[in-house]
Amino acid sequence: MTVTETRIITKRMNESDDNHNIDTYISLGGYEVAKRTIRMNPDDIVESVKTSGLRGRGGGGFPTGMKWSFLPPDSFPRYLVINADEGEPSTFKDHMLIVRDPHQLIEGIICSAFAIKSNKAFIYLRGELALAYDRLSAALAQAKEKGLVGNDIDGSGFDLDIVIHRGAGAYICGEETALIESLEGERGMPRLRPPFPAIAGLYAKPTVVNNVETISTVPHIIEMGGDAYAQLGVNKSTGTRIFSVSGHVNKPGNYEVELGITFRQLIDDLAGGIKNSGKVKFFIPGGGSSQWLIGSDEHLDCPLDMDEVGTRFGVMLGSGAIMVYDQTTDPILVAWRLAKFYAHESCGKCTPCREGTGWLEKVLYRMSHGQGRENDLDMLLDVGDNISPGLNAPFSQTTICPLGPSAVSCVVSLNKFFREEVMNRIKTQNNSVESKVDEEVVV
Amino acid sequence: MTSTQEPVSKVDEDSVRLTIDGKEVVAKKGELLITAAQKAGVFIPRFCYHDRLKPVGMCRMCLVEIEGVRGLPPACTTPVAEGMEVRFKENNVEKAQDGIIEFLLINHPLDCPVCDRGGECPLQDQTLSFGPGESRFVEEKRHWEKPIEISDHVLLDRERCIQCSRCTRFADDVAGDPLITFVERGGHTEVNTFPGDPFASHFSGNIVQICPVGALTAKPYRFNSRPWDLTSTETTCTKCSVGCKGVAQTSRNEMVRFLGVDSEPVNQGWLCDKGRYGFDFMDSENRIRKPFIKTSDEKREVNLNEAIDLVAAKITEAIEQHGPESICVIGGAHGTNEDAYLIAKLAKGVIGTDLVQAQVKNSLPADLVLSSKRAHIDDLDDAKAVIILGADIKDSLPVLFLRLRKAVTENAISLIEANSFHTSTRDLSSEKIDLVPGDEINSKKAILEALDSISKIDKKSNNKIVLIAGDISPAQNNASYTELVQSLLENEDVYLLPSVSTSNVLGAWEMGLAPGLLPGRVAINSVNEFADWQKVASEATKQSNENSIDMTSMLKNMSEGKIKVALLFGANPVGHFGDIEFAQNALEACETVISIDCFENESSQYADVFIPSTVANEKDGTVTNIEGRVQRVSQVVAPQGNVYDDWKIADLIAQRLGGQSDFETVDDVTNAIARTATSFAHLTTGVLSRARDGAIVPVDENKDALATSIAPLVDTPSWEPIVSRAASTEDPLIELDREEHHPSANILFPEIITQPFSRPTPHSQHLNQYALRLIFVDSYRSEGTLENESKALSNVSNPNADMVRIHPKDIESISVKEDNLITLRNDSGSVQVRVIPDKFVVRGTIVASDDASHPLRKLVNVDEMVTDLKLEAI
Repeated sequence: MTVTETRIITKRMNESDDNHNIDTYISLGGYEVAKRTIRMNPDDIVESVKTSGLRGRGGGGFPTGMKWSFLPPDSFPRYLVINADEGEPSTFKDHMLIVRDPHQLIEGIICSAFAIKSNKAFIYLRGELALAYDRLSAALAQAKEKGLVGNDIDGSGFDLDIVIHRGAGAYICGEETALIESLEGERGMPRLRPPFPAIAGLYAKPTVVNNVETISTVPHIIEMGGDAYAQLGVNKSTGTRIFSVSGHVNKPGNYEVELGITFRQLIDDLAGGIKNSGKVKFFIPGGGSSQWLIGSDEHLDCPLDMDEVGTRFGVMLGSGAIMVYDQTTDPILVAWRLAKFYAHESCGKCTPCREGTGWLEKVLYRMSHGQGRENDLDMLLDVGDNISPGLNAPFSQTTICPLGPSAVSCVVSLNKFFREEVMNRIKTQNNSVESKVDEEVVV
Repeated sequence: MTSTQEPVSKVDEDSVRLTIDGKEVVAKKGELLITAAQKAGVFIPRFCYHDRLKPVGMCRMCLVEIEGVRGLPPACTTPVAEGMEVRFKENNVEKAQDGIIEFLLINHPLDCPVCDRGGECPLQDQTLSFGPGESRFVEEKRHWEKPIEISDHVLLDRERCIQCSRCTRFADDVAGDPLITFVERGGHTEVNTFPGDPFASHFSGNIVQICPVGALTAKPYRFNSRPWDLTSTETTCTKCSVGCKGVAQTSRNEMVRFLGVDSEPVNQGWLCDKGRYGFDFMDSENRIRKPFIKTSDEKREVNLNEAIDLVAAKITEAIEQHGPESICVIGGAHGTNEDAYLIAKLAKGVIGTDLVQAQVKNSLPADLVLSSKRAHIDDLDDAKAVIILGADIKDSLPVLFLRLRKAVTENAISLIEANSFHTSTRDLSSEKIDLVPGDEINSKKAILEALDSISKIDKKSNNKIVLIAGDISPAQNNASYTELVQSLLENEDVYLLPSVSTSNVLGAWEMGLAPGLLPGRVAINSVNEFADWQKVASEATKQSNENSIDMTSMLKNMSEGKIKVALLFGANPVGHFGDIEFAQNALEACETVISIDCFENESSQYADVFIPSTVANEKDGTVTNIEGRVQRVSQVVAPQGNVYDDWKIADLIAQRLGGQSDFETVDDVTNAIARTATSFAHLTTGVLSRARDGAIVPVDENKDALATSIAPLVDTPSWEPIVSRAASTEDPLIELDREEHHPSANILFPEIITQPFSRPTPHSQHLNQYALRLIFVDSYRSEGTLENESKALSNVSNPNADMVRIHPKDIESISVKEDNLITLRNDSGSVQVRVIPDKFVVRGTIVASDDASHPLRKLVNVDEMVTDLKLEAI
C-alpha cells in the first residue's frame, strides 16, 4: 500500500497559493485558534503540548512541553526565540513553511508565547532567505494591522511584540546559544552550559528557543487536543514531520508524513524512487550531521522513529532531511564536501573543532582527489575521536557544541560502510609521495 | 612541576572536600577546580585560563573526568563541589590532552628559534609535559602576513596565535578598550584591530605578557634576549605613585624588560605601558654622567668632591650672610624614601631651612594628605561609594583606573564623578557633577547630595567612601580645591586616596619634604629627643610661620633676591610651574642654583653646579605609594659613569657642613628612618624583606596589610600571572613584633599630625561670563623629559597636545573657521590655538593638556588666582 502525505501543517498552504496573505489565511480558518488560546490558561496549554509528545523539529528532538516547563516560575520577563536559521545541509522545510504559510508561524508564536507567559518573541531568520524575509515581514505587518500582534491582542489583554532579526550567514547561529549571542549583537559563538537558556538565555533572562516547524505545529495541537496528536506517529515520535528529501530521487521536495513510515516508503512512495531506475547506495538521514545508512533492506525498512534510528543504527532523524545517493556516487567526495562545510562553518571558539574540522577537510580532499595515503582513514578516525570521543551518536564531545562531532560523522560512516572502497582507491589512484609518517604513531 | 607551600587549610564552613585521583583536597567554596587542583599540587594544563580574567573554557586543554558528569568538563569553568571525584591521570583525559596539543600545533608555525617566547612558552612547556611526541599533520598550514603592528608597542603574529582570547578579554573586560577582537571565523579566525583604529590603549603591553604563545611581541624587547640569559629581580615601578609590583630583567648589566607581578592589594599583575616600557630612559645618551660646574663662560666637568665642595661653600656663605632662610630645597619626589629622608635631614636638620617643597606641581598640601584618613587601593573593591575629584586617573594613575573599573563593572560600586572635563571614568559614574576651577568649594553641596542618594541603595560595603583627589591645574591657585577636599574629609566615612602622580611625592612628604613638617608626619616644632638633628631643625625654624609657604611665595621670594641658594633634587620649576616666565625669572635671580638630576632640563640651564644622580633601577631603597604602602625598589644594574644616589649626595653635603653621618649603605638609612620617623616606626629592613606586598604606614595601624598569605610557588618561567617570590615563608608580623619589643627600641616618637595646618578661606572665583577659565589636565603622554628620553615611549604620538577643548555652546558666539583656529587673550598676552568642540567640557572652561610646551602656558600669571581668557575669532 503506497504511503501518502498526512497534511497538518502543510494543509493550508496546499489549499491556496495565496495563503501568505492574511485575508486568505483567515478565510481558511486562520487565527481562530490563537484568539481562543490567549483566553485560556497558559499552564493548560503547556500540559497539552506535553501530552502531544511534540518534540523539537530543528534537530535536537527535545520534548517541547518539557523544555517549556524548565522556565523558573517567578522569573520575568522571559523570551521566546524562534530558530529560523535553517542551516543544516539539505534541510529546506522551514523555508517552505515561512514562504508559504508565514501566518501559521505567527499564530504558533502567539499561542506559544502566551503559554510560556512571554510578551516578546524574536524570530532569528537566516539572512540569505530573502523571499522568506519579504513574506514574513509582510505577514507580520498585516497581523499587526489587524491587531493580532501588538498590545491587547484581539481585546484579550495579552501583549505580544514580535521582532524579526536576520542572520548574517553563519550555520553556527542555528545552535541555540550561539543564536542568542548573535541576537545580542555578539559574535555568534556558543556559550558554555550551564547556565541553560531556560534559566539564563537572551539578555540573561529565561528563554525558550524553538524551531519554526515546532512552533507552527502548536496551534494544531491546541485545536485537535494533545491526545489526538499523540495518536499519530509511533512510540515517542508522535505526530507528523516534514521531511526534505533530496539527492538522486525523482521527486525531491518536502513531504509531511506521519512518523513511523519507513525510509523506503518515503523514498519510493513519496519521492518517486531513484532516478533512472537506480539503486540506493547510501543515504544520510537527519541532515549533514548524521551518520549514514546504506541501501540495505535492514536500513531502508527502518521506521522514521527518532529513537529507534539511534538505538539500532546510531543515526538520527535530526532536522528531518534525507540526502539519497545512488550507485554512481563517490562516497569519499561526499564525505569531503560535508567536511568542507563544517570546516567553513566552524565558529573557531574551541580548539578541536577550529583546527580539527580543517584538518579533516584537508585529508579528505587528498583522499578524494587521488592523493590519499594508506593510514589516512585510520588517522582521521583517531582525529575524530579527539573531537568526539567514542565516535558515537548521541555525540560525546571535547568541544563546546556539537558542530565538531557533526563533522566526524561522515568519516565514521566512510569507515563503517566503504572502507574497502576507500582503501582500494588509495592504492590504485594514489599520486602522493610515499608516506613518511611512522605507522607506529598512528593509533 | 609546581610546588606549593600552602598548608592544607582547615576545614570550616567555607570549605569543600573533594578528591583528585583519590587524593583528598580541601578547597574554598566557589573556587574553580583548576585553581583548587593547583594549590593541591596538581597542575592542570591550560592556555585560555588566567587567574585575573573571566574563564571561558575555550582551549579545551583543562578537560578532566568528573564522576557523574557526562563527558570531559573543563576544570576552569567547574566550581568545586562537596564530594566531587575528579580523575586527572586517566586515559581519556590524557588522550584528550594529546589531541588538543596536536590540534594546536597543526597550524602553529615552527617559529621557536626566532620567537621571543621560546624558553618561557606555555605552549612549549605543556607540549613537552602533556602532548604527543609527534604530529601527524602533513598538510599546508594556514598563513598570514606576519607580523603586523597593532599599536605603538605591540606586534601581532597571527600564525602563532592559538585563539585563546586572553588578549581580547583583557582589552575588553579589564582595560575597557575593546580595540582588538576576533574577526573571521573557524580556522580563519584571527585577532585584529578595527580598520583605522590601532590598539591605542595605555595598557597594550599587558597582552604581550599574558599571551601564552609568541603571537604578541613587544617592539622594545623583540629579538632582544632569551629568558635563560636574564637575571630577574623584583622591584616596584616608580613611574607614578600607584607603585605597581614588577620584575625587572637584565642581561649583561642592561635592563631589557619589565614585567608585572601579581600583587593582590595593588596592581594584580597589570602594568601600564609607561611603567612597562618607559625604563629605557636610563640608557639615553643624553644622560649626564659626570658632575659639572658652569660659569658665565664655560661648562667644566669636575669630580664629585669638587662639586660638593663648591655647593657646601655656597651654602655656608649664604647661611652666614643671610641666614638659613636664604636656602631653599625643591624636589626629592622622584627618588626613594631614603633619598627624601636625607634631603630633609640636610635641609631641616643641618641647614635649618623650612623652605622645602617636594614637587613643583600644584597639588594638595602635604599636611592635609598626611593628616587625613587614608584609603587603601583595595578599599575600592567594596567601597560604599567612590568620588573622583579633578582627575582622569586613566591618564595619571593608569593601573588604579583598572582597579576602579573592575570595582564598578563587577561589584557595582557607585562612582561619583566631579570634574571640569571629560574623563575616562565618566561613563562608569552614576552621578556627574561639574566642578568650576577656582570655585570648587561650591560643588560640595552637589557632591553631598549625590552621596546621600547613593547611601539609600541597600548594599553591603566596607562603609568607606573613597575620595580620589587629583592634582590641580597649574593655571589656578589650589585654595578652593583644597578647601573642598578638606571639607569632604570632615565626613567620618570619607577616606582619601590622593591621586598625586609624581612618582614618590607621597614618600617625600612622609619624610618631611614640605613646609612645617619633619620626617614621619610630624610637625616641625615637635621635639624628638632621640634624633639630634631634628632638634636642630625645630630650634632653627621655631620662628617659621606654621602657615605653609607654598611654591608660589617661595619663587616670589627667590625672584626678589631673598633666596640665595636653590637646591633642585630632580625638580624642574621652569618645566612644571604654572607661570613659566615667573619661574625663569626666579631661577635667574637666584645666585646659586644647584641641580641634582639625571638629564639637563629647562631649569638646569640656570644651574651653577650639576651633580648627576642615579635613577630608578640603579639603586636600592623604598618608595611610598598613594595608600601609604612602602615597597622596596631594587638595584638591577650598576649605573655607568659618575652618578650618585640622591641620599649619598645629600649626606656628603651635610657632612661638609658639619653634620654627622653614619650611613654606609642604603639599608642603614632605611633602618634610621624606622627609628626616627613616627609614621615609619619599626619598619626595618628585616620587616620589609619579609613583607611580600610591602607595608602600609603607620605599621601598627595597618598590621593586616602585613599579614600576607603564602602564595603557591610556581617554578616555571612560562607561568602567568607571575607571583611574587619575596619572602613567601617568613611572617613579617613576627619580625615586627621582635622589632617592637627589642630592648634597644626605647624610642619616644613624636605625635603624628592629626589636623591639616590652618589656611585662610579663599575667595570663590566665580565664573566670569565674559571669559572662559583655563585648566590644564594631566595627559598620559606628557612631554616630560623622562618620557622624551625613552626610546619606547617617545614613539607614542600625542597629536592633540597643543589643542584646547571648549564646549560647543561657548564658541558658538564666534564663527570658527575650518582650520579651527581661535585667539585667546588676557592681560598677559594673546595666543592662537586650535579648538576641538567637546560637549563634555564644563560650560565656561577651556581644557588643555598639561605640558610645559603648551602655547597657553604663556598666559598663566602667578598673581592671578585663576586664568580667565577672552575668546576671539582670528
